[in-house]
Amino acid sequence: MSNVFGKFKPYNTIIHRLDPRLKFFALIALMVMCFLPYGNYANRFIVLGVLALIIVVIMIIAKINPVSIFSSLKSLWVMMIFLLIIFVFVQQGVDTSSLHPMIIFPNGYTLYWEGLLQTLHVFLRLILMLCLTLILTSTTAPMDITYALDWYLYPLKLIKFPTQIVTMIISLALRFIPTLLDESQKIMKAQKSRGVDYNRGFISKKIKSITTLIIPLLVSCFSRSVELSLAMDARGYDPYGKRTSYKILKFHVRDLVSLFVTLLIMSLFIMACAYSSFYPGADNILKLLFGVEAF
Amino acid sequence: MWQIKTKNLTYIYDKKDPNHYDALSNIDIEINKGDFVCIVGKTGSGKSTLVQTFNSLILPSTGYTQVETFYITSDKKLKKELLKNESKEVIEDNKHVANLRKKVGMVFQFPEYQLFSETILKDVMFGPKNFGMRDEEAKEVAIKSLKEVGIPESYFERSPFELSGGEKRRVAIAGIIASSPDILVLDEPTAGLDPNGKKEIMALVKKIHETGKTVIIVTHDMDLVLNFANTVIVLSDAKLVEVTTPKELFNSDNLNKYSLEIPTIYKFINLLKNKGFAGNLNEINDIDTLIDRICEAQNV
Amino acid sequence: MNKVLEVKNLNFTYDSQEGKQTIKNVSFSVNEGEYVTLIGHNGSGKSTLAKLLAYLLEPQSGEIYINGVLENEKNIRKIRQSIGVVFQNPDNQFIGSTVESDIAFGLENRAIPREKMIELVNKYANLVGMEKYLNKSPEELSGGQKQRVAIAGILALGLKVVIFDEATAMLDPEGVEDIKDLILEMRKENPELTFISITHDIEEAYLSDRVIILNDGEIFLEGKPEDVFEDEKKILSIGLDIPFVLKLKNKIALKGINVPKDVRTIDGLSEFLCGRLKQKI
Repeated sequence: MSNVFGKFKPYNTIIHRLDPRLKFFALIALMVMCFLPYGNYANRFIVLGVLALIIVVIMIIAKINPVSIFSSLKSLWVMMIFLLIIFVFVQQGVDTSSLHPMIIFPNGYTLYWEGLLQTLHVFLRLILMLCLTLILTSTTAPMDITYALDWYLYPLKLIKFPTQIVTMIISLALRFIPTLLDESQKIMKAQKSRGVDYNRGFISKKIKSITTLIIPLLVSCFSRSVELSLAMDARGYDPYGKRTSYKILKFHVRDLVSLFVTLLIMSLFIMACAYSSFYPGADNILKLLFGVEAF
Repeated sequence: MWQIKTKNLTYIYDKKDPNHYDALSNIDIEINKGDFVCIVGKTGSGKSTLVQTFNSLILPSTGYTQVETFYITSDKKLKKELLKNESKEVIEDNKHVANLRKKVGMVFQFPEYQLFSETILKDVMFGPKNFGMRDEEAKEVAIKSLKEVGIPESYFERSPFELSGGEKRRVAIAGIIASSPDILVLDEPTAGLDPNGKKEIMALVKKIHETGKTVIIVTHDMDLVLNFANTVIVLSDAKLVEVTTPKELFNSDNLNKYSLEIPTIYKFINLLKNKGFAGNLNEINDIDTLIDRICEAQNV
Repeated sequence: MNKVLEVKNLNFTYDSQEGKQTIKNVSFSVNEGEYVTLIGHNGSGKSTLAKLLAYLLEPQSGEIYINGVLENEKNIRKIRQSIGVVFQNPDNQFIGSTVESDIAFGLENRAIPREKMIELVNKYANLVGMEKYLNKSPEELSGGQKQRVAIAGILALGLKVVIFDEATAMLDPEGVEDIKDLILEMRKENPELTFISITHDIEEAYLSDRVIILNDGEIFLEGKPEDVFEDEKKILSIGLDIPFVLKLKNKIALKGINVPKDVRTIDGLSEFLCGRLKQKI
């Protein structure tokens, strides 16, 4: 349980200390950067490579082991194989004249290099996005994420949207995740003692096994929420009432610097994107920079 | 003759985490068939972890737990070694953890949280069916065990969620004893009940014990230990510190050392001793003896 | 004596239980600074009564006055500023993500300025001995510690009456002792604070200022503990037990040793017995 992927680890690095609002912004910004069009494959890999480098550096500063993402998410590999099958074996559009054949079967069915590249490309994007999310969740206390969200929802307040209710719901959900995880472990142990095997059996049996966990968990969730609402009520919680906030977020100099760095990185990527779309015929960034001819 | 045995049992919690620690350290115990055992120790002493090795919910990191001929350990080499001289049937039996779980019934703290079926009867039938009983057979044993725990027949088709707390707990216990385990393990069976509920549950456990089953209870409740157990196992900081009888434990001065709660009667006797009560205060285990001794000393 | 809580002819029936009245015509009052215990077996209606007192449920008929204010929807702010509840399950009343934010929760609801809030959080964390854990999340705390935080969160609101609704029922013996000691300490520190403890612990009831025994939604007995528990048969008849000291006292009384009525603790009783012995010699 302690090794839940992306769980907040309270170290005291600069990344941990940054303002959650800034981290939130940087996360979204860099994610968008992953998805900008950068022209041909060579460009795409160069740009994503640079991005990966930046992300790895951030991870090292934040004391997150970059390799851990592969070991803790085994399903990533399943995803990789799945993508490979789709992209390599499924034909890439109608016009195949510009593609580079990899293997040509005797019956004329052709596998293209582009399929492989596309798989790698999508996979890389996916991993980068996972890493970005991982950085946010493991360096920011769940509550701080909620505060940041509350801040970003501020414009909605102006149109009388009850944002404080939304953030309260999210923060309560975050608060109860560990409690419910613990509870589900207990229920599973109790059911195992009654002969349930959660790992084996066919689908129908598995569904049955899962219900032995889900139903008790739901029942306990309901009783917990009733008690929780009483406790909140007793302490004078009024969802529409005016509340003050114990925790306030302060924007420090380091946050300002980081914001500047984020914006700088963003503009670099946007330039790369603009370059490759304004000069669609142009070769690649590598050539622009170093005069080297690639792929 | 022992029925459960642990040998050099150590369990490391969160082995992969840098902050891992020993939840159990080098435990050697033997529990005899037909015993009524209480395992005590303050929160975090490892008592719940220990009993969970008895039906393989937790595997010892090193050393092993043995229930009759079933070996429980995460050390594959050790298990192979242990099974080397055993017969073919035993080796085959050891492959299926269900065989062990049928033998060792485990009632967790707040067992009412494991109920999930539409009717009480179905819920009690669930365990026996998992352990391979046919429907009719399972129904038969379920009815029998529901009657044993004192749930009237009119309740059988009701939803378990309509019951009161104490009733739910009895249904949950029926769900375990329906598989007729030889060993019944209960983790804090009286937690959260009112005095009446406690009495009912303990009377039930006593009745089950009298049918010849081994009963093992993990508890904080020293009155329960005093009134029911014939053996007490004391754990402290993941280590085994004492295996004794309740009377010996409470008449010794060790309770404070293990930060265990002292039953009120012994607290009172200790107070009398400290205040220089001039009378024989040794070997008193119930109120009536205490009264007699007090009157003796006061010459009434 | 200043009556801080007054209950008049209270009646309550849950919607789901037609015909079965949970609280039947209950009337009593509690003085400022009193420590009242409310006992009765499961299903006697004591938890329901607690919720009615704190206006978490609305009675069908009858009136409750808290600090002179009638409990109704209109006065809800005043009620919340006068009476609070510590519930049974430590997990389900921990609302904040950390100790400090949980203590602050009620203060935030009252829109107290931040500077004042920080001051109060620190003060009450100190009072319950949790000042070193301000940044800890609930998973890192024991049950007893979580209950301490809940108590701090309620006391920080500056209430008149605090209800403990079986607040120690889910704790281990260490946690129970912890909370009991804390209550004693708080009473010393703040003698105007009124405590109503709903409990199964007859030993606790025996040492309180006043005991109210509830049976089937009605007040069965009420009064000073030494009077209430006097009739052993009556107590046993509704499935309750009598306190250890009283049991001993009753038994030795049969043999002709009469212990004064005001001896209520094992400490006092042992003192008395040893003293008596010395006199004889």
